[in-house]
Amino acid sequence: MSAFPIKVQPLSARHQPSIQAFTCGVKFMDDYLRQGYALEESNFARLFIAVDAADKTQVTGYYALHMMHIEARQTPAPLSRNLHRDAVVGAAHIVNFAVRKDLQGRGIGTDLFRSALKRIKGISKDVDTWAVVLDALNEDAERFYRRFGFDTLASNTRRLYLPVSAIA
Amino acid sequence: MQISSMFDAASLAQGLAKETRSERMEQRVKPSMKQIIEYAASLSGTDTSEFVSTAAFQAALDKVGALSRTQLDSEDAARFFAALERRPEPNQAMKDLMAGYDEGMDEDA
Repeated sequence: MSAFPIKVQPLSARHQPSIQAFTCGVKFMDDYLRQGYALEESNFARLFIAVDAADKTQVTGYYALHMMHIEARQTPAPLSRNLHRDAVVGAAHIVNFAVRKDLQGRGIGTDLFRSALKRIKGISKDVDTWAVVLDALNEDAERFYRRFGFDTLASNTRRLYLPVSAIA
Repeated sequence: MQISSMFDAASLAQGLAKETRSERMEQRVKPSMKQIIEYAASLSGTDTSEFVSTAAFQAALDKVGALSRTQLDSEDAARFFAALERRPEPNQAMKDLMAGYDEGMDEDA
């Protein structure tokens, strides 16, 4: 648990007032959160909101999960029977990690990371989900994710993946 | 356009048809870009504003589709699928990280 205790809840109407004032310092991430309802309605992603454990009306951060498919442009070398014959697998994409600017550096981001991994591990028991995918915002973030076994998904991007078996 | 099963295009189109209000979007472009866009719009028999918004919306839909479905070239794919087949165990850093997970943190609404 972090120095600043949080709870993580699926996005709901009661988060709305606090979302309007939320800023993490990265505009596209703030915009993404404010678009939350529209995104959920179009079935793009599910948002999970961090709130202050002591005052659950206060939004302190968020992440979003989006199911995606990863496939080979051409079928690669022989695959075991465990994997889909067409080499298409489901993956859970963690879209953003954002922490309210004035609360950064207190472990909230790490707690959100734990929450997302736990949730994805749970999903993977029921649905075809083979990997976690996320995008590192910068080199520091990339180094952070690599420590846990994440590797670059496509050689020319900061998009990283981890097989779900590697989630503790 | 690629639309994955996760992308509910039908409900999106339905929602669009119901919307009567419109909002203003502005962006600055280089003069030569503007010239070519205007020319392309006239070739398509539509005004510049309509042409730009349709093209941008199409690009946005493609992007969302691309998000839902990622294609890897053969080298990346070989690496990715090989890693999945190895089914790696959690490393020590991961174990330490998740040891700090608090069961009470995640609340369902």
